[in-house]
Amino acid sequence: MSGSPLSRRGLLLSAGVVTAAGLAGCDLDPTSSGPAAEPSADPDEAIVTAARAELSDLITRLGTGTGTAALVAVHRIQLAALQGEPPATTGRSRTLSRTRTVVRERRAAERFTRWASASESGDLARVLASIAAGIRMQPVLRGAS
Amino acid sequence: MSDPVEVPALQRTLAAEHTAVFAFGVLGGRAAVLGQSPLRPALAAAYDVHLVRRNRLRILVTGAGGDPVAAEPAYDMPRELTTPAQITAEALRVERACVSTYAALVAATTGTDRAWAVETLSAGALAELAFGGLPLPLPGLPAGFARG
Repeated sequence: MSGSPLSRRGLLLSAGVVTAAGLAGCDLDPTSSGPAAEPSADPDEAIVTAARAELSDLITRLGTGTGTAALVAVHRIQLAALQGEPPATTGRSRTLSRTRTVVRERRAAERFTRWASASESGDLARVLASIAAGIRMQPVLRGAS
Repeated sequence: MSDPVEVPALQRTLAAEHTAVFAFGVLGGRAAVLGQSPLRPALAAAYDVHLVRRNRLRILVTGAGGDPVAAEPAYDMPRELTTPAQITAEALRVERACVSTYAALVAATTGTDRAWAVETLSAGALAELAFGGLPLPLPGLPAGFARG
């Protein structure tokens, strides 16, 4: 269940979610074309996909806002910990207001907490729990209680 | 029947909390001479929190079929603990050590024990901030983890 010392690749291997697509960057766009993914029996694959999508969306929505560079950098590190590829910056997304940012960050922390509890892989759970804690540590949530 | 993975992880976490309870007791004593420093209530609060966690871990170890590890008579502490900066730095080191231990506990547990470990990891990470810790992207994981 627990792998220690923990490595980034090791955790996803233990979770069974490192695939050829995963190593190249998981395609989070369900509408994109390409070969259909093999059905997976891995119970954590949906969690990893959802977790990567959550961080990618936050990065995209925060990316063009003012004063969000540090938070975006945090989410990029967290996404890298899940071996996710950072989203392309298009500048087309509507940026979040500060209030919406707090709501989204809080929601993300709650989701990562839930995913950490639900994950089959203990090592994956450790990373998801760390991401939840990392989000809660950020100043945007510390000043918004 | 004891869980071969969960009990050792619970015992390691309990040992870390024994250390924290001792350390925050010492740090609180050292801070007592600092007058009305905001450090004093922060250390007292941390002591109380770690005491509660230690007691809970004893129950969890017993419930998992283990014999709770006892506290050592004393733990190594830095010789220089006279200034607020030195006391704060040691408090932060202790909190960080506990956060890393809870991250490992998350990996080794399931169900309600894991849910508690997940919540406690977050609470510990926030406690680091009270002692001058900087917000981290991945508290409790090795530095540089995201770089592989």
